[in-house]
Amino acid sequence: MAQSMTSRERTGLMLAAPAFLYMICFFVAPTILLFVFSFYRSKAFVPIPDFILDNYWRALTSAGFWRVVGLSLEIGLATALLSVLASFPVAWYIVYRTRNNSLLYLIIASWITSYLVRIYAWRMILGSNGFVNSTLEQLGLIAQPLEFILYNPVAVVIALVHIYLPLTLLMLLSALRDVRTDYLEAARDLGASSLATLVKVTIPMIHRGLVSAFMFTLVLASGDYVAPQVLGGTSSMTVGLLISNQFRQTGNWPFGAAMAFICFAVFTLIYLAVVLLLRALGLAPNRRYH
Amino acid sequence: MLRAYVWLYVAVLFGPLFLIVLFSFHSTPAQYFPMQGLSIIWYEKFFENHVLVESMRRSIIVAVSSTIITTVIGSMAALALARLQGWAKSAFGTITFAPVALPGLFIGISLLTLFSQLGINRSLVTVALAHVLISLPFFIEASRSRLEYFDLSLEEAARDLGASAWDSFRLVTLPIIAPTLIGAAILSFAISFDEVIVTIFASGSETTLPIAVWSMMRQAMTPAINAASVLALSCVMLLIVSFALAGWLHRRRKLDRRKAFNDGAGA
Amino acid sequence: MTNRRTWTHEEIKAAADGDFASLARLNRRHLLQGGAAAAAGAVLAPFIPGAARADVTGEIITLTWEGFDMIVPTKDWATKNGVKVTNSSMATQDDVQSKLIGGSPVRLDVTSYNQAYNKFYAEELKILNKLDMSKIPNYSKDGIFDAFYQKERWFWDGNQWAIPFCWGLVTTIFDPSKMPKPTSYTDLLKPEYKGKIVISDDNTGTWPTFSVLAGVDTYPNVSKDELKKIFENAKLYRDQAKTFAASNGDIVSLITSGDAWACLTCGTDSVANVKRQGGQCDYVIPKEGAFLWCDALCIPTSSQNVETAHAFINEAMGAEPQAFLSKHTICGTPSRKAVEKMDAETKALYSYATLDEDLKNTPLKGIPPRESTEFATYDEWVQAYEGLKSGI
Repeated sequence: MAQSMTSRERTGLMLAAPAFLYMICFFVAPTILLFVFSFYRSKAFVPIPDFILDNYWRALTSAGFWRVVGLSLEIGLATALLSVLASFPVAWYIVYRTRNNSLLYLIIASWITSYLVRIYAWRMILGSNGFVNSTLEQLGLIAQPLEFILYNPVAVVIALVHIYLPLTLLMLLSALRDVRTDYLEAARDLGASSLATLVKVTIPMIHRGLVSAFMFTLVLASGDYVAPQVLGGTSSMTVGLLISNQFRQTGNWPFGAAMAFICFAVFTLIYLAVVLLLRALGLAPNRRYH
Repeated sequence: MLRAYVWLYVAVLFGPLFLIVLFSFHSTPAQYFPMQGLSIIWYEKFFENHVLVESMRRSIIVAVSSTIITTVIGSMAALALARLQGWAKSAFGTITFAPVALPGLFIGISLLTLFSQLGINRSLVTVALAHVLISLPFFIEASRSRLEYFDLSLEEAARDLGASAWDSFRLVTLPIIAPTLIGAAILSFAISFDEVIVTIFASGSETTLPIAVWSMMRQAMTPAINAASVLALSCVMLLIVSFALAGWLHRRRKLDRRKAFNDGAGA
Repeated sequence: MTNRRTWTHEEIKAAADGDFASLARLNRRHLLQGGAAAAAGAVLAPFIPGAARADVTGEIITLTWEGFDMIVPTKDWATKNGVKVTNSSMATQDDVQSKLIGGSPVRLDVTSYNQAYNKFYAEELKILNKLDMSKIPNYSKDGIFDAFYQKERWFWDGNQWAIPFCWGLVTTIFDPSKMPKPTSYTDLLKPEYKGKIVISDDNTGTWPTFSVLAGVDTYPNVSKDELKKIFENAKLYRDQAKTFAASNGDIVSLITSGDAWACLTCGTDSVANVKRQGGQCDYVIPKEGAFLWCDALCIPTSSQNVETAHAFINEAMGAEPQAFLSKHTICGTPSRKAVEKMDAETKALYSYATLDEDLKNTPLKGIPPRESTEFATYDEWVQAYEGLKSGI
């Protein structure tokens, strides 16, 4: 093994070491610790070592928990789908039409404005006296402000799409840059239309990146709990808040940890479902191009 | 068509930001239409507010230090990915990408558990460590494909010509990958500067700007918060513009030099 | 949680002299925390003596609500004693226990708790130090209104755990330009107000109100059946509401912008905040009654400068600082002497002349028990409340 390793790979391992160690210390170890905690008992903020499945059982059998998970996933799925669809053409444009990075930097910079302030900005836009309503009223299109556009999950999705667009874009960019232009040229030389090239060549080649862009937006959006609280109306409970409450309010860390791992399992299932779906549609072949 | 769409996308992205900027110049505290008039009172209020200014300073410290750490180990990781093969590559790729696949909350609670078990005091240091953790995957993802695309044979050619490993990296690789790394570093800065959820769990008694804003919002929304946000945005914009300018100047100088060299050789 | 160990005279002297070699001999454990070499002394010096202090000076770290830090009104005292107060703001009461529990509590010298958290903090989590009342002379029987002097929320078994420093009413607030003054909470259920009501997501105010609305007046001790009844009834209000407001700031923004016309229960200080932002707002005490809230200053066990923390609390309880706080946050003061220092407008906020009488029958509500077989526990309340918010 060591003998067959090229010097290039040896350098690679050396370069990988710091990031690897960092992840072991601050990601893998805490995750394992949290997993162990999920089997503990809890008494007034103090986790007591034990091996019980009650925490999982309590969450899994709670109708309320699943309802909240359902709502969070709806928000997450809608956000992820819209973000990927909206960002894909832009990523395409940046990779194939312009070689200039400033557009990308501009888009990333939009992200610097406070996440919290941006969430509240949507109130200014969608509220009773907000931008949309006051514009429509001035145009004489409506007499009464539209009330249904804010304080519901739709408003939450709008705000979250806005927040996560730059991130989704970035992931798609990184995927598209993996595609060698010579493949695309070859496809075009063989007479494929641009749509056919997209469906038959590009998407299959970037399907991994596509799925990860989708999944990561889904995960971040379903875990968000600030936007639903501010814009979500009376069904503002999301799984993020539920878990956070266990850590900060009721102090049952093991129960919170168990819920977090259940969510993790749900996300994994969704990931597998998405991959299978893409395969069924013929968009994700089981072979590698590069 | 595509071009128009791209501009629409940018407009949608910046529309709400425009409102934030607009209302930061509002002469009254009201944050709804119609507007009453313009003033810079909220910027004065921001600079008068000791808590906001102090927490912005802390946010900058945290963001800069976590960005430096992220950039160093992140670039190494991205370079590693271009060199590794087979299972080592996929294992390393997975582990460095995994934190993205979990909500910030998950990272926050697991770090809290770790700090609590090890008796590590929560401070700005733990906040910076946490920020490195969440920005590292984005850094690697943003720079990976460019770096993999970069032809390693160039660097190897340099070494064949007698350059040391460090020299060939410094003289050949770095100039080519620098713009990508700078872009990824700006991204890391942005992630750190605006992080709320993980910071809530990882911070001690010193808070960052987003947390201070969050606490302020609990009492009353004031446009001073908008002002803080606009100031932060302008700082980063300035950073980006100066980087872009520096890069452009650098390229130009190089082109001129090459031209001069070619001219000299031709004569 | 271990109490902070006391330092010996030698250690204090060593730390003060920056003599880290002898300090290392005296205290190996501290050395491990602080760094290794004597050469690091210059860097460490500002940090270590903080732990050794036995007099009023140095830095204290405080965690309070935004606007309640008391830094401005205690500035002269701080300058005189060479004290630096470093404050950060909490976003929810839960921030306090989140910082203080676990294996690595955050150093806090002074923080505050809502009355409901008294025994939870002091006895269950054991995160509070008992106060040394000889160091807080401003909290005295004749200087403090009866309702706030040595009452159960801060004082029991002969020990004082915290000093109440501000209070207010939790009641219905509304926009008089949009709707007539409601006389009962049930008025808010009128069909014309559908989607115009907001419910505060603050359980210390919302839970007791929900209880009263369901005809249960024994909060925080209610049976499991009563709990069901309370949240069954609360659904009426949820379905009428536009949203659960995450914070007071949220309520203020909703009412100012016209998105909401009334809030079921909210601190009366929000009335002033709405007006400051150009909206119209007033409060009313519905016929079912309202509640009182009261925050108290306390010294967590993670404090490293207990002496100065006591002195700071004493200073914060002085007449001028109290009058200042009242003026700027629109809350009530527990200090009789502060009332004399107030301007007419601040004095008129609450009926101080008759306060002792008025507050006699206004209990400060606690929180449901953490463990109980007889009553619904805090966990069960949280679960029921989370259910309400997720639309069940």
